[in-house]
Amino acid sequence: MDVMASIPLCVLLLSHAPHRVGEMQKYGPAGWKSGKAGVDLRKVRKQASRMSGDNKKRPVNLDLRTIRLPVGGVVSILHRITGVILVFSIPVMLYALQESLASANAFTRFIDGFKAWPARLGFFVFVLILAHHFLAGLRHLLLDLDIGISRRAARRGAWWVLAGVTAVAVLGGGRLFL
Amino acid sequence: MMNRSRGSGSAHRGLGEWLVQRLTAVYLAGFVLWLTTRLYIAPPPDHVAWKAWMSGGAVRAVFALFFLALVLHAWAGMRSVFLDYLKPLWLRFVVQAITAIVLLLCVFWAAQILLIPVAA
Repeated sequence: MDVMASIPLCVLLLSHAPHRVGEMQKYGPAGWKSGKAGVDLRKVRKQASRMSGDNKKRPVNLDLRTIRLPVGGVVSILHRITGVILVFSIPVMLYALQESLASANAFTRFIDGFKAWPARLGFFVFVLILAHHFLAGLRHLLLDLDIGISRRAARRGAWWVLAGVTAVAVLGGGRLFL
Repeated sequence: MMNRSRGSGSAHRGLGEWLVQRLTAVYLAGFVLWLTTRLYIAPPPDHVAWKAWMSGGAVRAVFALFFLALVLHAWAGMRSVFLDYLKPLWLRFVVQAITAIVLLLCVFWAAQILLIPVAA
């Protein structure tokens, strides 16, 4: 090999060597030497705890034009939002039950109230929220049992949840409004 | 992590709440399916029928368990929401206390509604 050609190679090696040594001192040799040989969990943990100090300096991308929540994340955050809304609907449910049981008059008023379409629309939204919370919750329960836990299956499950809510919207909407 | 949390007082409570959230979820899901199916197949035609159905001991027991499960489930869920988003400890404490009181009142209200058919 040409002597002159080896000079840039040496520069390249030298420029990287101190970095590598520094890295080794910082994180221990496990980080770049272990390769495919078995991983020593104690070493990895020690390394992780050492690295966590530097973690605040890591590059963070929160540019909403380039990042997107995966479908599982969408279903998950909707599960949380619908849950909070459902909690707020507990007193409404109790009031409805109380009114419907109170007297024959109140019962008729309750049933007639449902014939007005603002009440129907409200009930429709409630049913959709409940359907989403129900189906997404079912998905979470299955994930807890390690069913559909792989990335592919979890994403497919999330799409099924959205498909189920759409089905409820079509069937329930048809019944409520047609 | 497991080694550290073992034997540190109330560390098991998180697991307990997690389990309560899952168990109540199963009951709530079953209840919703049962009630929807029941009301779809045989909707009570009038107030008398509705009240008669709601006066049954088994039905009222199922409803009582439903409201209890609902409130426990709501508490577990709201608690995890507060733990995630309410960072100042005093604010979290105040909001959690208000939530607990309101949910307790809901339990008493539900008990009152479910006991009226007995009194009447």
